[in-house]
Amino acid sequence: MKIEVSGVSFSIDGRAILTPIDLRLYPGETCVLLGPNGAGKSTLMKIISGYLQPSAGAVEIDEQPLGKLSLMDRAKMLGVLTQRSELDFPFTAREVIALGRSPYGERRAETDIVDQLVDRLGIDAETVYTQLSGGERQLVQVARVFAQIWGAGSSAYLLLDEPMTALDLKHQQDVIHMLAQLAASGLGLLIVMHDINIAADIADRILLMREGSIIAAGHPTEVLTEANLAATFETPMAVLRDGDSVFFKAGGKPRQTVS
Amino acid sequence: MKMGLLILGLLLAVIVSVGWGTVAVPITDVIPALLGSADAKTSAIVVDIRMPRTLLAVLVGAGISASGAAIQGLFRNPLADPALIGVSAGAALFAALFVLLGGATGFALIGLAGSAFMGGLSATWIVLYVGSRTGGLSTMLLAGIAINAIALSGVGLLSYLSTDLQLRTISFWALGSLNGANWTAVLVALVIPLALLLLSRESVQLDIVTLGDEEAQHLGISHEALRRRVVFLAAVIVGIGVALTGVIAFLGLVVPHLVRLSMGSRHQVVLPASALLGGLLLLVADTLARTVLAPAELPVGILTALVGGPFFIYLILREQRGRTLL
Repeated sequence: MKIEVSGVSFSIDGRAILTPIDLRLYPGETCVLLGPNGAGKSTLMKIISGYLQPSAGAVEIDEQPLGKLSLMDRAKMLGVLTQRSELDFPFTAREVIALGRSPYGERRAETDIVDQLVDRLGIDAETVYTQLSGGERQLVQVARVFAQIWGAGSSAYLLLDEPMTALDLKHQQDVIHMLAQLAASGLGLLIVMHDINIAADIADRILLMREGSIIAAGHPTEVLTEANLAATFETPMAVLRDGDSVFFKAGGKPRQTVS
Repeated sequence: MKMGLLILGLLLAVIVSVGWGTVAVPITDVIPALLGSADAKTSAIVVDIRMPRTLLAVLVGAGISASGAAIQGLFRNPLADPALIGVSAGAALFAALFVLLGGATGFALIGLAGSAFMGGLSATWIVLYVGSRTGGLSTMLLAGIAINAIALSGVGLLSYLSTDLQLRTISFWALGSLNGANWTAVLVALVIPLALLLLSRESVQLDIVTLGDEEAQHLGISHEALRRRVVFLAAVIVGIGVALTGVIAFLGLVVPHLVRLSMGSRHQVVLPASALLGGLLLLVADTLARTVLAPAELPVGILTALVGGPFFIYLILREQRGRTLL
């Protein structure tokens, strides 16, 4: 599945949030959107997911305008994780994850998918959602969105707005692992995140956003330079190399430690 | 299992309620009376007085409580009340108008009930209309609060203009009572189970919308269309309830909450369980209301508010405590 964003801009009360953006997203590719707060990352995600109408321009999925697709068809093509869910009811974690399968409606096969996800992500399925910590809730929501596009392969796309926020290191790794596996199955991924180290690890393509525009795009090694990062985030950024590995540190070079 | 207990409890309450009162009717006489083979006095008590009142309590209690559950799901707020959509206040305003315009003496029940029902639907329509202008849930909530305030100030104004007798009718109506129950009212109230059936078809969509409007849309649900359907059905159900019995406080707020505490949040369970528990509780409350001060009768709305209010405060405190622990 290919997503094409052409000339998309967005403004509220005359204030431009996004200046015209062109972007193509391909199956099996992991794209990561990086940028400071207020750069327009989430707005761009909301337009690609069809929740917001762009002020100008268009989004097409496989050459069909997004608006022409029914909500149910879209639900089967796009798994979307928003920044925060408002869920405030005592559903169990399992019930929340199962809601991800609701567009398909076949109950019996669905429990299998939920079981797999619960197992892979180490979720305590019978715990009540409202009694979970912030990070645990986040994990359940991620699992719900994974459930939605489970097995869809290249006929679906994942849009994730800060999936790693609030997750502990182990669960971050679990999610990263599953993202890699989903991408390998042909699924396309667009992820907003703030952790440049994780972004550099998982991305096939990095998009740097600032003030409503994409100011640099390409392979992590080309895009994640000290100059680009400093210009994007307005803070010194050190790029440290250790053999084949690259590390990023905000605030410049780390203090030397005596070993 | 729990659902079975609720059904059993409800059936038991129906039998007790029909038998219990200023004149006790033994359980063994209830069935013959319903079949017309009991003596005239017992038949009159069971068939003409207690049975319609019992059925009306069950139907209205079930309707208000299940609507409360649906409205709470729709507004993503476990502490929301069906009154939020303006239906009770609108009904109260039109009921007061009807009383003041002199209809109450003529075609008694249906006239007053019909006006109240229309008032309830009109107020809800305004709330829905204002809400749909921006598409936001909070706009609709605020519109609901404003409509409530406007309608209740209207009731206040009408009360000020009314004669003592009219004032008494308006006040008693607002307190909520099943005193006027008869078979006509039961027939009208049969719309409630039909509407509940339609409402239960929205169960999965209500589950989904609790995640958020945006999340619901990404799962293939139009939250605006769902909102229109659920609010309309709730307005019809609560509108009929309020029209026939006046305002029964706290039932729609507390019952779904109780159900969720022990049976989880899935609307497939919460809606029918709230209906059963709501029917049961209103029936118990009404049976108490007509017997504790017998031969005088307490408006059941006073009893539900008197018990429901403190219980609601307890629930809020319990909820807050749960939250600060995290």
